[in-house]
Amino acid sequence: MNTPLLEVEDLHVEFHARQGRVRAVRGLSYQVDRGESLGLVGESGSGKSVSALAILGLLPRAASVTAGRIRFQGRDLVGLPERQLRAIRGRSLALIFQDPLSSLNPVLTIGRQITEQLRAHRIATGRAARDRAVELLERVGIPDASRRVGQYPHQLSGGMRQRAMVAMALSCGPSLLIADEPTTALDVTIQAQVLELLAEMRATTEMSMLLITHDLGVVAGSTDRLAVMYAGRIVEDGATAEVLARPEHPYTAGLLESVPRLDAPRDAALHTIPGAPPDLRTELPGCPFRPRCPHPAPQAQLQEPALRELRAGHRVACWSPRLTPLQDTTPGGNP
Amino acid sequence: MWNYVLRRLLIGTVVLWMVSVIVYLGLSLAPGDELTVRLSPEVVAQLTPDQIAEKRHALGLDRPLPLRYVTWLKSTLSGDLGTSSSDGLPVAEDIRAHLGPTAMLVGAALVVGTALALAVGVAAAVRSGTAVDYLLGSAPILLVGIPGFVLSLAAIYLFSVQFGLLPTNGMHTLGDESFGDLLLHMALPGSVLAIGVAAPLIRYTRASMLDVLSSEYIVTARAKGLRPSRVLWSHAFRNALLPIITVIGLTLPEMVAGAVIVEQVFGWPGMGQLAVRAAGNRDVSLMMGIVIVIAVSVVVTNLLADLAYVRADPRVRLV
Amino acid sequence: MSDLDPTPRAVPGDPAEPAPATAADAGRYPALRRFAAHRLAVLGAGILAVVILLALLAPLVATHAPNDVDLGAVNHKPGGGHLLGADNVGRDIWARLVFGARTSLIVGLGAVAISLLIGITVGMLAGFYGRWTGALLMRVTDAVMSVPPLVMVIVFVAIAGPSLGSVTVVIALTTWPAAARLVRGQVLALREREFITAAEVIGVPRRGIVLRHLLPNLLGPLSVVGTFGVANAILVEAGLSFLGLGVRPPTSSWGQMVNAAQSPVVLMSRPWIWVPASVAIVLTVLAVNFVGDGLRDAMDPKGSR
Repeated sequence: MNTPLLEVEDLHVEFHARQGRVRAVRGLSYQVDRGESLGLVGESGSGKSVSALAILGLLPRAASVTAGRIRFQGRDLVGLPERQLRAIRGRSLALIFQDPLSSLNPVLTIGRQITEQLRAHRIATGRAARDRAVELLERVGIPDASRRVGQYPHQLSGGMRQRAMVAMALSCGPSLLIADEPTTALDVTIQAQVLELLAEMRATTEMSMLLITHDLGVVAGSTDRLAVMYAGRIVEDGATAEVLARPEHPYTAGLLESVPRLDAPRDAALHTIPGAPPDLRTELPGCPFRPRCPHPAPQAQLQEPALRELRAGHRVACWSPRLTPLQDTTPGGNP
Repeated sequence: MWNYVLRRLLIGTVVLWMVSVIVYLGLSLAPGDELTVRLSPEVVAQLTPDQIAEKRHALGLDRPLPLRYVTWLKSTLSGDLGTSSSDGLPVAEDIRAHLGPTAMLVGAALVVGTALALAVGVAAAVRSGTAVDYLLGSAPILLVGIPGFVLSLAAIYLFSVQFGLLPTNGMHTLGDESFGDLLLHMALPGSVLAIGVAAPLIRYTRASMLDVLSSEYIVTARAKGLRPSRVLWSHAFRNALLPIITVIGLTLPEMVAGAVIVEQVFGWPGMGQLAVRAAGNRDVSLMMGIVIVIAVSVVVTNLLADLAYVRADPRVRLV
Repeated sequence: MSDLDPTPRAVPGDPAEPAPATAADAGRYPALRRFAAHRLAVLGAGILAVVILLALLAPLVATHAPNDVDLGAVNHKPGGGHLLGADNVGRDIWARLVFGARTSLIVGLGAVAISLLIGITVGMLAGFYGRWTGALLMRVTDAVMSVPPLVMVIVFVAIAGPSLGSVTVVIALTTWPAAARLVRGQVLALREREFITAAEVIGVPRRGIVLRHLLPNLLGPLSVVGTFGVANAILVEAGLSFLGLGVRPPTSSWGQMVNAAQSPVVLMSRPWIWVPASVAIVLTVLAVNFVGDGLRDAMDPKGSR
């Protein structure tokens, strides 16, 4: 039996803000199998980063998991004692963030930040740790690694910093890497390099990846499967190529159509999804996407749709999926 | 980095020079001649008017102000700070005798007060929002409003009069030159000064820590699986310390001012007591000498604090 | 000891909670609302109002003249015509207390007024005429900041003579750097803003624009600096009088009254002589500090946590 490496099951995360409770994640379920890469797509405020923090038990004090399970390598991480969580963090489960400048400690050298992780998980100490740090920097493609290892984050360029973060994340050989918007803060060319690096690392180690992003272009080239998040839960998931070729949920379709195309006529208006994401402080009756949906079903007013398998491996949570027939042309932009 | 050090030294020298100008202007405003200041009133009283005129000319006191300043500056730089009118001794000697005790007291208070403030500030920040934080955070607010002399008197009342625990006067009990005895005598004045140092620092430490604790790199550190103590000290505290170093440098003058009061109340024979005595006697040259010496120490300490900051923050290092 | 806070950075060390952003931001004077919601600040303002009232009405409130020597009541305990007792020459403590409030308030407010005047002028000059003038002025500012204020005050008052006026002026002369730095910082920051350049391009004189935008921006931080300056001035005056180097009788000063406690007899057995003045100082300074904190939070609600 192939148990998934990571299984998020009906996760609910709430924030206790002064204005009231905000339900950032409402019944989120997805999974990542061994060796595969899952893209988690959604706009800001959809709760995707929150779910990543929840997995590692790093939610801010104002937030908490109110229901659901997070199974990693068979163990439920919710409610796991802190000591055991610490043994997992950075070792079998790694996390890289969006902005490498603010994610790295400005007063410690790159080398120190890598070796302290190696030491914390008893992988290497002293001289051996330092050598391994240099090795890791070389592996992620940082030139002159033995000099860089003694430098501080502000002395490296943005792309190199992100590579260093990747090196740090991979230092203890994790089985799953969660990358939260790893390319958003970088230039487009650097973006491509980092994605390539991640692909390379995965190829040699069989590491799984959860790639969180709002950018469909990033997802298209780097993931095996794709899950689309809206208002705190998954509204569509399936193989990346399949979902991008035949998006069933109007939101997914809207996202795809919003990507500007090089071959569109120059004066064509850009497509947008009308309306705005729902206010998560309130209860949302029915389907949360209904106010913005181009073709809502009558049921959408009353009940929130559940994820149903529409085709093999392709699930949608919608009362009126588009049901696009198989076509040759792919709607939506190129990566 | 050495460029930076040199630049700071240069600026420091300019600042000191300005202090000397301000001080000299103040000196020249004093009623009574600079001659009286230089030679002490008793000597001058015994001179005939002709002798006075002669001396004044010899010392260059009948020249215009800027030239007089230069002469004064020259003698000051060579260590001659004039003579005290209250005890007839050279000012330099008076100061030398009293500098040590003050340095001891202020130094000890600085170390203890800073350590206390850092510990309390970090503790309050870590437990932010809880009752402990409320207590630890509000204590300094109250303490800051209590003037040093009130605190000193209260301390004397409590510790010495009521409970007879600690001595409240002077540096030593008669005949006992031991270090232990010194420490006992330093306990009360030192503690009052240390509280004076700690009170404003606690708020800064707490604020700085809270700021740092919400940074992204703290989340990264935790995500790496590091132990909480390591995250707190190597990551959070190390960064929070930076602005605090600057603040400590800035509060030094106030601390010395506090020492003046504390020394007076506890009879501690330091620069503060000397200053009060000088002021009471309108001993102008002594007062000026004290101001110069204190200014020098403050400027030097500020320079050291700046250097410490440069060493601590790698982002500034290469400037 | 005094806490002259040069950094107008909101410190989340206040136990009182600021009002929720939504409710307080509405209304015509949001800053006022925010201030009013700050419990400690309101308390401080209340205490301050009482002190000011007492000081203004001193001749009416006091039962005796503050300098009336009553040899029959030397070291009298509270009671029998003397509300708070009498000191070592029979002067009424209560009277000296309320008249002492006048001293503290005059020095406090007066010193700050003068210090702000000097500070703003220097700051503006330093900000507008950068380069040499500016650098020079900043070095002077540094020089003044290098010497402990109390020491400078002691020295200059000794030279100028201990009167209410000289004490006020001298304290002002040692505390203007805070305002100067603030103003200069604002001027420099504003000069660099792009809309200044844009306006200049169409021919509007630079100084005019900066001034017009400067003053509203400065009002907030300066009032905070000023408030804490008042607290500082009161403490310095009290310290000076305590040392016997400040205002002399017949002028009463709280610090002077506490001076008597240097004698162990008074400290131990005649608390009415020194405790009321000590309490008065602490309460007034705390009140001013609370008001200052309230002002700071009212000006910059985002800074609180």
